[in-house]
Amino acid sequence: MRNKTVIYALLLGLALGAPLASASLDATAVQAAISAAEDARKQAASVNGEWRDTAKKIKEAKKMLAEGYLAKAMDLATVAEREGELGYRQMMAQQEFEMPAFIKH
Amino acid sequence: MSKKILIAAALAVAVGLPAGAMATPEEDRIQFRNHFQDRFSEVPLEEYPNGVYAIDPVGRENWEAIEEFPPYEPFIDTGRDMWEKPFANGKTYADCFPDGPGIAHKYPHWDKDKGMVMTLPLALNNCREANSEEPLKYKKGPINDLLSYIAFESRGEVTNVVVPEDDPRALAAYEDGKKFYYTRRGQLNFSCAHCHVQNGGLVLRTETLSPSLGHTTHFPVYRSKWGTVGTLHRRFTGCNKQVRAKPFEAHGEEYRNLEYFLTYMSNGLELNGPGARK
Ligand code: HEC
Repeated sequence: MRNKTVIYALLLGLALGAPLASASLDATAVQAAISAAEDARKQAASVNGEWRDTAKKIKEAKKMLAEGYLAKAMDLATVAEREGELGYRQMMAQQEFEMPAFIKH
Repeated sequence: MSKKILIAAALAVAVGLPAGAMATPEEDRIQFRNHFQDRFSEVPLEEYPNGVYAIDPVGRENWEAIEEFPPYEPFIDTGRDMWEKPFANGKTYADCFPDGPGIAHKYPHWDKDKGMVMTLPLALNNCREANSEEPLKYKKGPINDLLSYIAFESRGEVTNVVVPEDDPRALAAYEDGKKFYYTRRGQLNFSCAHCHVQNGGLVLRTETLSPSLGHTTHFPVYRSKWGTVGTLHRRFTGCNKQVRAKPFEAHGEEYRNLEYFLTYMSNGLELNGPGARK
């Protein structure tokens, strides 16, 4: 009985487009994730490896947080942080210049 | 092992370069050109300034029809007016560029005093600022008129970028541009060379990828997709964004050095701007 109520509540929440805050997700945790994403983005930028949409995702995460959509904000911040890390690693892996093999002569 | 070889090897280690990575710009250029001449063995060298139309016969037919009434012509006319119209202080561009307006082949060049690559748009804005005029935006707008006129007046000149040997910073700038060109970037993890060297001729969505050789001869370019004329650095920006990398500042150091390398690769090819592209 109780489970059913939870499911109905969830469905209703989805239908209304309301934030699906899980018990452990509070604004402080989301804020920390956004800061971590911003740091990762800056680190990628410091080696010219920033990706196109990372800053946009961080901006959007801040907006979602401000509007109370914690889960959505968390998702965006997590993806943005990952992008920052990957952009940084991408550049670090190419520090040593190597002529690609497809230029043969 | 002879002493000479030992010293050379020690030097290579000290400088931190793997053996073989020390190609000169001229060696790079010959290798680059050979790559394309091998890949498109039926395309004569002097066709490369025509971009994708050197290798895409269908696109070429459309392009030839477009060139009969060139869409960039009005921009040339407006640019001529800009060139001739005095600044508020009574001076003109000709005071900064006494050899003008046909000066496109003198850029980009190494500016020893400033210790940087000087590009034509940057030099034009330096001229404006020296005459108390606002600088022009680098990607869209009136700079394209002025550049169209200068490009038109420079037709027939030959690309001839020099990396002076008496200033190691020039070679460093060239190497920096070269590294940029071959570095994978963005979420899609592509370098410029992946699209324009390795895959020139392949179709990406609706566009055939142009070979990189000749990429700099015809700017600014009228692109039907843009509905107007745009600069080389606008193009760089677009290509960086395509691979979902954050683009760099137009005429900032990264793109200036990239232009230096890329234009050097086209040394010996004729200037034919402004151009028209799909
Ligand atoms: C994902 C593939 C891709 C990558 C990577 C890429 N480009 Fe492009 N580029 C294109 C396409 C598509 C066009 C439009 C069709 C054409 O002319 O090739 C284009 C056009 C151009 C042009 C204009 C050609 C002309 O004739 O007007 C230049 C110059 C250029 N790219 C330079 C670069 C540089 C420099 C880089 C690296 C920063 C780069 N591109 C990376 C796909 C790419």
